[in-house]
Amino acid sequence: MKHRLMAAAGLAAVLLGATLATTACGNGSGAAGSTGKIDTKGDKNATGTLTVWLQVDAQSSWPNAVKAATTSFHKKYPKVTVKVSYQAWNDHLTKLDAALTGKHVPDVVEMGDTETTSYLANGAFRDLTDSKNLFADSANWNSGLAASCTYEGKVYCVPYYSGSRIVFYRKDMFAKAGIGAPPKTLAELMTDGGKLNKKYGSDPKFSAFYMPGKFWYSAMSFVQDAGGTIATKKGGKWVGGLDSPAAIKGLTQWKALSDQLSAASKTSDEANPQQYTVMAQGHVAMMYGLGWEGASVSADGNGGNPKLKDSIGSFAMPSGSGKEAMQSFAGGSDLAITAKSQHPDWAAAWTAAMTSQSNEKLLMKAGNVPNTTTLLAQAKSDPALAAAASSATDSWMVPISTGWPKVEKSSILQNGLSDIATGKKSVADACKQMNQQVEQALNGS
Amino acid sequence: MTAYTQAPAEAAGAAPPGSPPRRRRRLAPRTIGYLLILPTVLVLAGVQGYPLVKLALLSVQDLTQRELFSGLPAPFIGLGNYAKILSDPDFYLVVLRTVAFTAANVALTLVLATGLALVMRAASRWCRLLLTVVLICVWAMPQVVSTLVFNWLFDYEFGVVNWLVGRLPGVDMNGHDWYANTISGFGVITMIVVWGAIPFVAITLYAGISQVPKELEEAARVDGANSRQIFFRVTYPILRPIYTIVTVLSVIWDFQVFNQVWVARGGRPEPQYQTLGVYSFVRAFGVNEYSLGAAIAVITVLLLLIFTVFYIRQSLRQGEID
Repeated sequence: MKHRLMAAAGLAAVLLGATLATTACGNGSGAAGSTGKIDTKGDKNATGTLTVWLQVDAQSSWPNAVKAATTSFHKKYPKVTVKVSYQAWNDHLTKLDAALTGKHVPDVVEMGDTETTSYLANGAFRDLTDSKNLFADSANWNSGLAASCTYEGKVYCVPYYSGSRIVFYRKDMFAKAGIGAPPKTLAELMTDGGKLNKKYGSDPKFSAFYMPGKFWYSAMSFVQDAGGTIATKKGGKWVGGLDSPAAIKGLTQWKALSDQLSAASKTSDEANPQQYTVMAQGHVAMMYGLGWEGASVSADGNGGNPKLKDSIGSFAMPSGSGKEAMQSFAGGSDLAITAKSQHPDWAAAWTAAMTSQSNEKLLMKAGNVPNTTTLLAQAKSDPALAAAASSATDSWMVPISTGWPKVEKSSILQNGLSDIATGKKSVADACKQMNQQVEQALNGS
Repeated sequence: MTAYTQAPAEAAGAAPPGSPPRRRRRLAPRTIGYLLILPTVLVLAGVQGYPLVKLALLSVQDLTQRELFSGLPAPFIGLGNYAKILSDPDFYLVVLRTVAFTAANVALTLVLATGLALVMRAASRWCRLLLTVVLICVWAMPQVVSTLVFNWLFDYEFGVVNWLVGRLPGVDMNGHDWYANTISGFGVITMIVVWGAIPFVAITLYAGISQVPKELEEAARVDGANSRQIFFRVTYPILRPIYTIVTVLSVIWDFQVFNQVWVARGGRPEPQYQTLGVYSFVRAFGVNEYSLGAAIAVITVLLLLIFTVFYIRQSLRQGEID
């Protein structure tokens, strides 16, 4: 009997160990003081390491801006080492949660503007309300981005940049398919896509319009364009809008585009693979991308194809309901200083350098929309940025709710859209399910 | 053993009562036994007991981001998390999916590994050496790496498998999405899991098979048994204890497959690809319901415990493990 017990206990131990490996959860350390004035005057003798977490876009598309920020930071703190590590959008929040639990936290972190709310509300970042003046032109921050940094009247992060999506197209392919001017309506776009399909259809990899099945920023723009919303707040409660006739109409249009014009995978998103790398392969006539992606298609390195240098043009995504253009998702990023950071002074100095006017201009050159209205006005007069800048002023945003990150992290929209794109569910059924899940997440149940 | 323990007892009558050597000797076997097991118990308690207690505690708390970021203690909410999970129909779907997935993986692993072990016994020395080296190479490959390689093989756009299968006349595999259909998607994941699980099982079984007395099998052959009968009537019964251990271990591993699913689905597994391990992680870290995730993990452990105890008891009844 004893032997039996021992054998059972031994095996039980093995199995517990294996389970724990996947679920072990760290332990919180004491709260660090996150109040008090920040001082970025500089210190010639300060030594140590400043850890910065940026998203991978900075590494691939504007490394010069990161370099310039660090150079300028070193003028104030010459002996402090700056360690910048680049994160992927897919899992950076999970990594951040794990890091924020411990003692050695990154000092500066980049957050997507739809991701900030629950972090602001739960005290992850340092209160910068009294230090706003340290950051360039902070009185004129872009209102959308500034809102994503504000919680109960206090400021917890610094707007970094935003982007809006436009259509990038192959001028040479359009010309060969006999299309004179870029389409002005969604119907025209579908017709032009048909012409392109006819011309290049013999290439089995060809997409007249590359549209992955989980590209939710694009699909939700179709919803918005048709007059629908993701959710609206009514009397303290979020009411979902994805099962409305308007939303269903928009997603039906989106599915038609995906079905008829795209050869992209119905189960991947716009970042895996990065769609500009797909366009660089030469089998794509149009894609819906962020400002910087157009330049990346023909960039030398990082998956770009320099041969396409002169053949990439852009136009605003046409509307399916008679508007001037389809409203683009107001996506953007903020930089925050963690509440547990040991060196808030350095962190603030680096953040200020990264979001300085000269640096924001470098970001603009890379195809981004700058963080202040002052610079946005300048961007509109630049022909290369005009389309992106004006679609940034007319754009939609996700519901501002502490529950929103849950919607993104559990991929509610992506999975629902993938069901639509693959035909696993009808548009109406998928909409109903997404709507119910979104409502649950936003209302916190 | 018995002779040794009795010797000091006999000597005790001659020695003066209470002398230290005598007492130490009398207690020796028992004490030594406990002393020998003590380090293991201590290590297990530290490495597995502590986290287990933390996990159980976490599952009856409500830990949110606020407590996590600030280090404040989390409030206790009793069995609320368990009630929430057990009343969620999705959870039962996940359990069913996990059980089916585990059964398929374990069966495939055992059958293929048995085949390999038999091939190894029959093969020439060089061939056997080569096979062993290959198996160990497969074994040494980290799960994430092998999953990435499989992902590339089955890639939507540039996958070698699509290209290869597409060369068959009349088959168009261009842009075939293996993960669009859950069955074929799980087929690929099963391949990754089984591929990684075979080496250990095959080598273990080969070690067992090579210990089966040749005479027994020869005798059976002389009696007119065919290969099938020899395996099931002679070889398998001798190997049964090894099969028990290997099966239990495989079930435990496959029941909580995580890396393969996670990496294969790009860190965002769709609900239809979530097995218990993934489900628990997604609940805990994906949507920051740490306590709920912990409760799911505890339930997973209990399910496995029930299986293990049941299976081991069955085996003990048959007198395989002493």
